[in-house]
Amino acid sequence: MSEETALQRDLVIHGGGILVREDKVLSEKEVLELVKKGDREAYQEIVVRYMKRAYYIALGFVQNPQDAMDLSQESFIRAFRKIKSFNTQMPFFPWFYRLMKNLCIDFLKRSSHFKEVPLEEVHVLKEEREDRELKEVLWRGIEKLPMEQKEVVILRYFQQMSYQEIAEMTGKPAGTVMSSLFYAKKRLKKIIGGFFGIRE
Amino acid sequence: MDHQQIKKLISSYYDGELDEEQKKIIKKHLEDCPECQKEFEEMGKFEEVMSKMELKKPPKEAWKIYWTSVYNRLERRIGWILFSIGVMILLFFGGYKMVEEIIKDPSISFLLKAGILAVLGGVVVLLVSLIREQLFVRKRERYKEVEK
Repeated sequence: MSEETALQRDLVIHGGGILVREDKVLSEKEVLELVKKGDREAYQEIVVRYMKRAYYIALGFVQNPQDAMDLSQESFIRAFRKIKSFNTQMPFFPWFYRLMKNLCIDFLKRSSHFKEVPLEEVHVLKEEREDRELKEVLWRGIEKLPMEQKEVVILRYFQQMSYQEIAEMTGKPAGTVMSSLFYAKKRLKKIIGGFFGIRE
Repeated sequence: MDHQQIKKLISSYYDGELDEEQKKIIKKHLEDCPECQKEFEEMGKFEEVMSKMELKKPPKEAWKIYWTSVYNRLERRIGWILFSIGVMILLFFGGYKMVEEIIKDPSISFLLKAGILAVLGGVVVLLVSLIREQLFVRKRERYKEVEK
């Protein structure tokens, strides 16, 4: 592969997340078939396509940018090692998500103490003091939610997923997703109630 | 439909998950129910706050080196696995040869031979036990309470 072609290919991968081989644009399923055969270039395509989504979800779980970066990368490594057991008829990301979620839960269980990171390292903040306080309270509230509620909040609000998409990711029925989200909102609404005079 | 069901529908309304029929049910209920009207307003305020929660982007450099980091860690791990397998093979081969030499050497007394073999046997048993425990812990214990 010439340097120019390699650069073009690299740009295609980083830009649109599409793998081109011998002038043929490959589907995700075809790319994953190559990954199953040990093709690391093909795996690069998968990693680049999903790295941001993986990072932000991990950030929601562990609430620390450095740990989120590390755990999302570790998840891609483990996914590559387990790729032979992956069914390419299924979409990659829900399978990867469940692997990463387990890794994050395991990490949180193993962490002897929660490393609280200053809010400005995780969130975009405006100048107003109230904005900061409100976000701080809400963010710490999300952190304390039970895992099944925390994950639907992360997927719904930070990944803008629908109930159906969340159901596919978590393997739970859409009705359960709706209920979990409802109870999570109820808790969070109560936590930030003081800011708006919201009663329980 | 009771208040609790309507409140769940209100939550789904803000999630953009209701069809026209369900929206009509809420609208009709809200006309006569101050409690659910209040819930509707509060949920609106909550959604407004949540919509302003924006996670900070890491530096662009982090995305540029992301794949390289994954690749390097992957490669390093494979390197360690190969290295460990190699060391194990060498140790077992060396151990086997040593035992063979000791048994064949007539100048070494029976008691010394028995002692050395017992030590080596013990090391092997401990090693196997350690590996088995590690595998058992990884397979059975590590994610025991983890939600699947």
